[in-house]
Amino acid sequence: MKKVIVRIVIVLVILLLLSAGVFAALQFFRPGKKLPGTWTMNVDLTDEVVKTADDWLGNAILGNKVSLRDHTDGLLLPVYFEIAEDGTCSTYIRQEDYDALADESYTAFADAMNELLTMRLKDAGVEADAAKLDEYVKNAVGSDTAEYLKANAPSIMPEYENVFMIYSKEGTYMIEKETITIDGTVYDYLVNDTTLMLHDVTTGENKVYARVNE
Amino acid sequence: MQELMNRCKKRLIALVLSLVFAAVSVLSYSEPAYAIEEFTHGENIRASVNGSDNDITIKALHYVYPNNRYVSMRDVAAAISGTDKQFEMAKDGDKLAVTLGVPYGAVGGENVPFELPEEKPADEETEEPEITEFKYRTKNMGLNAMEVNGKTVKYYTFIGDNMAGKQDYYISISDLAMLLDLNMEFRGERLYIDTSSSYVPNIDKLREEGFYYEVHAALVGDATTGEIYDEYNPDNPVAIASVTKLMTYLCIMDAISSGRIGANDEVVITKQAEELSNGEDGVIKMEEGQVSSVSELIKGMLLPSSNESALSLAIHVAGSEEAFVELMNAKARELGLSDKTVFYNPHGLPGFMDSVAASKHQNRMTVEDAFKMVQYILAVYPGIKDVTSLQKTELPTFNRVINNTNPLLYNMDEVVGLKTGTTIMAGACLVAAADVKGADGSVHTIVAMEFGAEDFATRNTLTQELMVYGINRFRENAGEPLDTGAEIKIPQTAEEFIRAVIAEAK
Repeated sequence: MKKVIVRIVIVLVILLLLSAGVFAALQFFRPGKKLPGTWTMNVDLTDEVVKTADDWLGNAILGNKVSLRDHTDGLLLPVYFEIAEDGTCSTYIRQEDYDALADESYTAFADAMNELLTMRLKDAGVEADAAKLDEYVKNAVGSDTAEYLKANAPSIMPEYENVFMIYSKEGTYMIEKETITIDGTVYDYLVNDTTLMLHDVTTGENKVYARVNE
Repeated sequence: MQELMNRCKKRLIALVLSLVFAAVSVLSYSEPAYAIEEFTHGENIRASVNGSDNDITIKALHYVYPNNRYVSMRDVAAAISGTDKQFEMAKDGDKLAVTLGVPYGAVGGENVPFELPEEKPADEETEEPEITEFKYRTKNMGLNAMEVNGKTVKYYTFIGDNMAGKQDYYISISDLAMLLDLNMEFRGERLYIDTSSSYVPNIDKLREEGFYYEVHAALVGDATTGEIYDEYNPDNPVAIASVTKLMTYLCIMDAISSGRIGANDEVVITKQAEELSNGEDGVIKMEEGQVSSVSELIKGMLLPSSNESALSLAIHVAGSEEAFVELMNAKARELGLSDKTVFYNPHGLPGFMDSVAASKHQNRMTVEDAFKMVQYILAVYPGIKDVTSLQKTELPTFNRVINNTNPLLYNMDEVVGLKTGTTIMAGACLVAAADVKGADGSVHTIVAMEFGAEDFATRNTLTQELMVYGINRFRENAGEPLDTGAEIKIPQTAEEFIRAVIAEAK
């Protein structure tokens, strides 16, 4: 009797697990339910920013190895992808994200500039810690290094309007079985509660979005 | 006895005759006025002043090559008298005194053409060309000093007589244009002199005319901002001769600033330096055991380009020439110079390497690398200008007064050095720097350099033209004066920013 009960329990557990698996799979591949909402992915502007900054630093580097790249883990701008239930969608960037990235970029630029300044001061026989360096800079140009760079160096950030134009679009989408067509471009897609992956079937490019919890 | 008398008599007669001959020789000898250089190519140039239709003759001598024209200063003085750029010429002791802005007082012979042989057709039978019979004698070409409005300048000139037997100077057309600050150009065979505007080198036109073909490589730019205005063969490695001593100076200054040596350290002259000073490449006579100083030897190295000074300093800093050369090459890599830049010794003389394939090596750089190096030196050790702007100074240890070999130092008020160099392979090289004040009051250092000119005259003229071009470009860029009153002048480049902070820190 005891053996029979154990077997029944095992069978029930197996059935339960199979049901859960099937349910999870169904949930995962139910695009209509999962797609609507706001998604985001990061665009990496590091190379563009580093090039402009390093070019400007270039004529003063004179043998010192200084690069903005060494002062950042990556300069990433969020791009949002909003999917509405009525079949429309849009991508856009937010001014506040752009401004925050600009601050982050100029902090890295100032760190690189200060590193170079410290080296050049040392070459000239002057040892300066961070506080002293800041004092010298303020006395010389009336602001700290980051503010000076923002005001006087060439803009290391791409213009907001340009980035907005590149990433801000409105359109429609249509779901057919395992593909989604967004403004004529066909993607394979995978979606769950937190992640949306679009695979451009023509170019092979992948875009991975994270859901924005609003 | 009779035989002895006869012998004495003969010897006495021979002696008297010798004395008479010697006396006659001495009395009859007078130094020929200008008997050293003999020109066989002269030209009567048709010239026009300020667009006038009247042709004026300007005599010219062709030095070594056709079209390498040196024109009569008296002819030009007479031609432009009455214009804004008129000038007077007079002899002041050994020098020519030029006074700008004063009408020329003719002495005779001005604008009178050379008597050139008639052009005859080639002999029909032999078809050999007619050999010219023109001959004109002058002193050798030399870097002759002139007083221009009381300031000594130095240009390569020939001194000869004009057609009325009056002393005249022959100078290259480019040098004269720069000296008088006017424009001269050939259109066809006619020379147009324009006194209405300042001398402005047109670099594009100069390029078209093969300006840079006279050298191996050249560059002009603003060392303060790093902007390069023009360059020729920028990444070709070329032999740099004594321009090397700028890198030597840099390594010495690094040793001083790091505390490894002191500027006033005593330096004992080594046997090696003495031997170099006694050889054909010696500049300042030195003896083993003499005690000089770092600062004295720096002057010796940078002004008359003393090889023994460079060697002595190198040994003092690194213990041996070889160890110092390692420092030089390491510094080149540290500065980010290309691998085309290589140093074999601290002075720039040719050196034979220990190689089966006969290897006569010379230090070499590209002009872009040389510009970067000079930029660094001017930024980190601007005190170099205090030394290289000296026209002459004393070296007490060696009981010598030394002169600066940089010709532009005399010809342009803005020039502050930096270094000449010459070997057979390198040709005549010159790196010149000029401090120029912009309209906003900031001072930028313009650097002009060339490597590989065939002779000193070409070196000087070409570098001066590049320098004039660079200064003009800088002034154009500088724009109108900023009405900033007592406001802080905000630096606009990374280099300016760094210099402003360093100035504040010091």
